[in-house]
Amino acid sequence: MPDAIDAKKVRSIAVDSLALDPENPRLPADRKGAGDPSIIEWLYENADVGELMLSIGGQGYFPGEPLLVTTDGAPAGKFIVVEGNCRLAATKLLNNTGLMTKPPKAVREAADTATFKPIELPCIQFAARKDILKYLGYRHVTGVHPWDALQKARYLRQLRDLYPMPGEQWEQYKQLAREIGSRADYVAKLLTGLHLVDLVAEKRFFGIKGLDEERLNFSLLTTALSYSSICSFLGLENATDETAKNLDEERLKNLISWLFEEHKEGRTRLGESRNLKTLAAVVSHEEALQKFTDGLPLEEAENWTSLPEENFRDALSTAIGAMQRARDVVHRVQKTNDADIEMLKEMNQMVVALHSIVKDKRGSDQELGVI
Amino acid sequence: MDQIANLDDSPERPWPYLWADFIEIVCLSTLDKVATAQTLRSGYLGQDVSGEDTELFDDADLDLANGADARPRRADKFERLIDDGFQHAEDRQRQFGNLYPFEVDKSARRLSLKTPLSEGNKLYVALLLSANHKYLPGQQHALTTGFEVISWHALKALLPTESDVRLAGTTHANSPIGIPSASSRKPDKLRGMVALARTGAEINDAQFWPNDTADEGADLFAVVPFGEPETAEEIIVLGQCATSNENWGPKQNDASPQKWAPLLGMPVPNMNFLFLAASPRQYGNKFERGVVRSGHAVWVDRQRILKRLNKLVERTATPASALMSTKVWDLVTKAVEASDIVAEHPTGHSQHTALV
Repeated sequence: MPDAIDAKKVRSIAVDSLALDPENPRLPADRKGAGDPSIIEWLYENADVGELMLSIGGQGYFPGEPLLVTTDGAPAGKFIVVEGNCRLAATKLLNNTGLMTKPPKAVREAADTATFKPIELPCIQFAARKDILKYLGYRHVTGVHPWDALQKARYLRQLRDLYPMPGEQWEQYKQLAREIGSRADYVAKLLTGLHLVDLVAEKRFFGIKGLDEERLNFSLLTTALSYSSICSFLGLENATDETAKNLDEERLKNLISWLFEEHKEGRTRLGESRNLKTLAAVVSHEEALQKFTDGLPLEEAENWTSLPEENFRDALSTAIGAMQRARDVVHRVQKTNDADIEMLKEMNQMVVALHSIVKDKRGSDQELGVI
Repeated sequence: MDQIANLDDSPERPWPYLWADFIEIVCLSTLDKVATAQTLRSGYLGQDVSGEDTELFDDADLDLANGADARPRRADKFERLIDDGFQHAEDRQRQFGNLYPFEVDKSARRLSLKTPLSEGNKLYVALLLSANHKYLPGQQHALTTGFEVISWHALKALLPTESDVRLAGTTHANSPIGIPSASSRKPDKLRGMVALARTGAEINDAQFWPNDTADEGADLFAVVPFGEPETAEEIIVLGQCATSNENWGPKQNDASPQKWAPLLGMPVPNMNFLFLAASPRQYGNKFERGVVRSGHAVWVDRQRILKRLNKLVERTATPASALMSTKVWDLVTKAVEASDIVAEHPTGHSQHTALV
């Protein structure tokens, strides 16, 4: 954490002298280094700027939440707002809706009806950008104003770049994890994912129509990396292999396509995120992978993996567990009804049917016995 | 309370239909009737995720053991499920067509309420609120009994026009469309059903508790008459209504023929219908693969109810308000209207919250 924020250091600075942070971890790569209008348009579309306009315009700026600013890297006579960019964007728009190329009706109305249009804002000045950066981790990673996964990853990388950390790579992950109150493996996975996103961006998103950094669901990618078989498929040692020395770019292209390229009715070949488990099974079985690569739907390619067997045994195990729970509490049940009997009969019928199928598959003559 | 609340209580399973409902409810809770990933992230994410475990967010122990905070990782999981929810909302838009009251922009992760709303759209909102009454504290009874009324209309619309469709629940005992009964006691209600079905079965009072006024598990009772007064009716439909968004498994057996045919002396098994305010579908319009079907019940879910009732609305110019209780209509009206009420937003920012 930076030095404790001292209320005495709060000073008012003219809104015109305050610039939005072009290195804001929220911003996608194509907005980095962009001017205020471009950043404002992005923040309006992707953050709470509209609501903040209503709040600040209606009630004034809450002095208890000063902006955190620095002159470090700022143009002469300006301050860069490292923390509080949405609030600054909202205030700037209240004073000048022309900062957006085509201000939406909601923006125009919020400005027209505003009682308050602050021309100065309370700020706390720090000598360097990095003095503020550590504070952001608590606020936006663990705290109440969360960034999305990609924004968190960008932040962590900035933090590491600005604060060279001693020790082996894993020790660095642990230090970063301590800064945001999380775990080293989580930090490592985010940074590995970010490295892959950078590679994908370099490759112009492999020409996948409509895909860019904003549309690439980063948490889906990092969750995919949670599966060791997907890491192996890509040539990564594991999810924390940030350097990705042995990465197979062709396979990365395949994975990105399966996860994000939309086909009929806007569906990807993965479909829903819960299908990652199936995909992980498919990429770990050569025949299944070949079928899937050739175009077979994921749920059909699954048949060439051991997943159906695993799911079958999982389901049997869950069923036994549930039956045991029922057996353990039945003596405490005061009232039973006919519906209970019906459910037991239905279970009985299923057991008989399943047994018959399994017996046939095994060529066994072992009978189930009396039920 | 008639305000949408408890929005930090997000779904506990990864089924996309639950997350689509959650996004739709959040949308109705906002002043401008728009839900975006940012709205969801900043407002309802991680209110209290470092303590209690749920089936979905089940790895907090590992974090706690490492002295770490589970919130960042859970936030990522939440994001992914929200994406699934937006995708499912887009599927719904396709399946429900004009009846779907929201517009979805999946790539922008944005869902907004249409304006103006058709009668069919308002019916959708009534079913959405019914399936999500946990977000309307104090309104559970109104929405549960209100859903029985909507289901009554849906069953009536499903069956031939000469059918005799009744509400069998205790709440509707004095209604002209309730079961005619000498008292609210269960054996008397069963006698009423026997009379409607003309089976002549004897109901023995001794088999029931003296003060038993429950409905024995059937919310709806219908007879499709053959018009032969001298014979027992043979096409009998019993229905159960479920307003929860999941966990309705046991209800599937409540109106089963194995239970009811001997009780009412039916010559042939009755049909067992389960009415669901929920829309437990997955991509391709199949029923969600995670839900358990049992009891051989016919599922009449949100989509089926809505499509059936909308035909009625279009054919007879019936207003949506005529298909639900006054209280449910009142809740729907408030849900789709903007409001000036300003509530404290969980993040600390003031946020305009609509009354529903």
